[in-house]
Amino acid sequence: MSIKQSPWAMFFALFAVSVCIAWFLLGLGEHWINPFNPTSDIDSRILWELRSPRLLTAFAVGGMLALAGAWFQVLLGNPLAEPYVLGVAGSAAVGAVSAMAMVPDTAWAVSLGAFIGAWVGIAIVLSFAHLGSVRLLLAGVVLAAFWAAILMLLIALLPERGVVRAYAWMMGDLSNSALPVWSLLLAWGAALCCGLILSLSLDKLLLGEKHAASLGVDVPRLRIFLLLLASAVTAIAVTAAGTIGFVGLVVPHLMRLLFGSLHKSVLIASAFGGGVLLMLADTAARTVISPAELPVGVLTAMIGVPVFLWLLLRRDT
Amino acid sequence: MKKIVVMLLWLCWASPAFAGERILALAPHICEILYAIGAGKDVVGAVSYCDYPDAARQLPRIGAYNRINVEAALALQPTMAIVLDMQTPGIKQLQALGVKIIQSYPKSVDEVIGDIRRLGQLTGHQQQASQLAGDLQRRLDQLQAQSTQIPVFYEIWAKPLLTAGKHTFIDDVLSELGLHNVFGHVELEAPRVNIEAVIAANPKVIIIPSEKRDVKERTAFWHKWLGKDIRVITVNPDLIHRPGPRLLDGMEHLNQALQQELSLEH
Repeated sequence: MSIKQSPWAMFFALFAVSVCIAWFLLGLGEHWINPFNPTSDIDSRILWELRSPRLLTAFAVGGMLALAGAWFQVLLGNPLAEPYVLGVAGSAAVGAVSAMAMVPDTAWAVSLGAFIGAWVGIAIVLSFAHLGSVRLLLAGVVLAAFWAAILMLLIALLPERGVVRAYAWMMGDLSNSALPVWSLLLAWGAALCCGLILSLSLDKLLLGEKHAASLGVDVPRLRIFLLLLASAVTAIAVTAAGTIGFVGLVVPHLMRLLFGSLHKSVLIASAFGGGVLLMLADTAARTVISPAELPVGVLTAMIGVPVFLWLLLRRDT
Repeated sequence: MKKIVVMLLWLCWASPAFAGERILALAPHICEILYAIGAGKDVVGAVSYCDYPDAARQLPRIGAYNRINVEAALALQPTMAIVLDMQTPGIKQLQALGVKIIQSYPKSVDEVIGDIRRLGQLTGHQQQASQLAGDLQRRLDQLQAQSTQIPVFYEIWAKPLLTAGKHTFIDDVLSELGLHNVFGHVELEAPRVNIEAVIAANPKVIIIPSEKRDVKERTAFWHKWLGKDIRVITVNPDLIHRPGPRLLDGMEHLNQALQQELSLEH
C-alpha cells in the first residue's frame, strides 16, 4: 500500500522526517551545539530556551499558514489564493502598526493590535461570505488594497525609528512570539484535525459547488465554516510571527504535486511541509549573515521558489 | 591689486546680508540648533517632531522630515530651507523657486559641532554659534579623556532586537565616550541581531534609549542571559539620537550613569 493512501502512515512518516530535520537545525546557530550533548550550561540553555521555542514556533506558524493557504485555494476555487488574499494580513498589520504608534514602548501591545486588526478584517470579509467565491475574492482583494493604503498612511506618519520597526514586523519575526509555543502547537494540531474532518467535503467542493451540493454537502455552511477556520488560523499565525509571505501560497501546491490532490494527504503534507519550510527558512535567516539576522520572509521565497519551479518543470516532462 | 579684488569679492559672497532671512527648519535637530544659536526668531516653519525648545512647538508645520508640502512651505515666504536630505520630495521645487537650500545631516559628533558653526555662518549668528560650538567641543574633550573600552550593547529596540551598526551616528557617540559597541563592526544601519550573538559578544553594559520601556523586564531578561553583573542604563533618545545642541547633555548623562553603575561594582 502506498503511503499516499494511508493518512496515518503518512502522518507518522512526515512526523519522523520533521523531527529529524528539527533536531539537526537545533544545532545550528551562532555556533554549532550538539543537541545530544551540549558542552556547557549556557549552551544547553541556548538550546532549550532560545533555539527550540523558536524552531517550534516556526514549525507551527509555517504549518498553519500552509493549511490556511490550502483552504483558501479550495474555498475560493483559485490557485493564486493564499492566507493573506482576503486582507487579513493587511488589517493585522494596520492593528500592529497603530499599536506601535500609540504605545511605542509596550511590546505586547503590538501582538494585541495585530490580533484585533486581524479579526476586524475577518469580520468585514465574513459579511461577503454568502456572495459566492468570485465576489468574496474581489471584496477581499479590494479590502487588502484598502488596508495597504491605511498602512502606508500610518507609516508616513511614524517617526523614522518607528518605520524600521514597522518594516521589521511586516517582514516576519519568529524570535518574539507573544503566544506561548504550546498554544501554537495546539492550534496547529486543532487546525489539522478540523482539516481532516472536512477533507472529504473539500474533495467534493473541488468538483464545483453544484456537484458538491448534489453529493450531499451543505455548501453555504461549509463555506462559512471554512472561511472562519482559515481566517482564525491565519490570525493566530500573524499574531505570533508577523506577516510571512509565500509559505501559504506555495506549500499546498508543492504538496499537491508530490502527493496528489486528495485533501487528506494534501492537508497532512501541508501541515508538515509548511512547518519544515519555515524552520529551514528561519534557521537560514538567523545564521546566513550572523551576527545580524535577515527577515524570514525573504528566505521563505528564496528557498521556496526554486524548489517549486523545479517541481513544476519536472511534473510536466 | 587683483588679489585684493578677489578677496573683496569673496568676502561679499561669503557674508551675505542676513537681515530678514526667513528660514524653514526641516528636521528636529535643525530646529534645535537654530534656536540654540539665536536664529530662532528667523525660523518661520518646521516639520513634525520639531518639539524643542517650547517656542518651536508653536511654529507652522509644513510636513515631516521625509516629505514636505511645497505650497504650505511657499505660503510662509521662505528665503532659506535647511534640510536633512537633498532628495526629500519637494526640495528641488523649492530650490527652483529661488529658496536657498542648505543641508545638515551630521553623521558624527564632530560633524554636529561643525554644523553648528556652519549654520551660524550661513544665518548670520557666527558669534553665538561659535561660542556654543566651542563650549560643546570643550565638554566633548573632557568626555574623550576617559577611554574605558567597556563593551556595550545598544538596544535600539527589544522585539525584535535592533542595535546600531558600523558608521552610524550612535556608534560614533559610543566611541567618543570611549565605549566599545559590540556590534560596531556590522555593516548595517540598524541590524536585527540574534540574542545568541549578544551572549557571544558578552557586553558589560546594556544601553536602552528609552525611559518608557519596561526597564525592569529588560533588566531581568539581560540578567538571565548575561549574568547578574550586567548593567542596564536608560538614556533619553531625543538627546542621544538627535544630532543637535543637546547631544552633549545626553552624552554627559550617559557617562554619569555609567560611572555610577561601575562604581557600584567596586
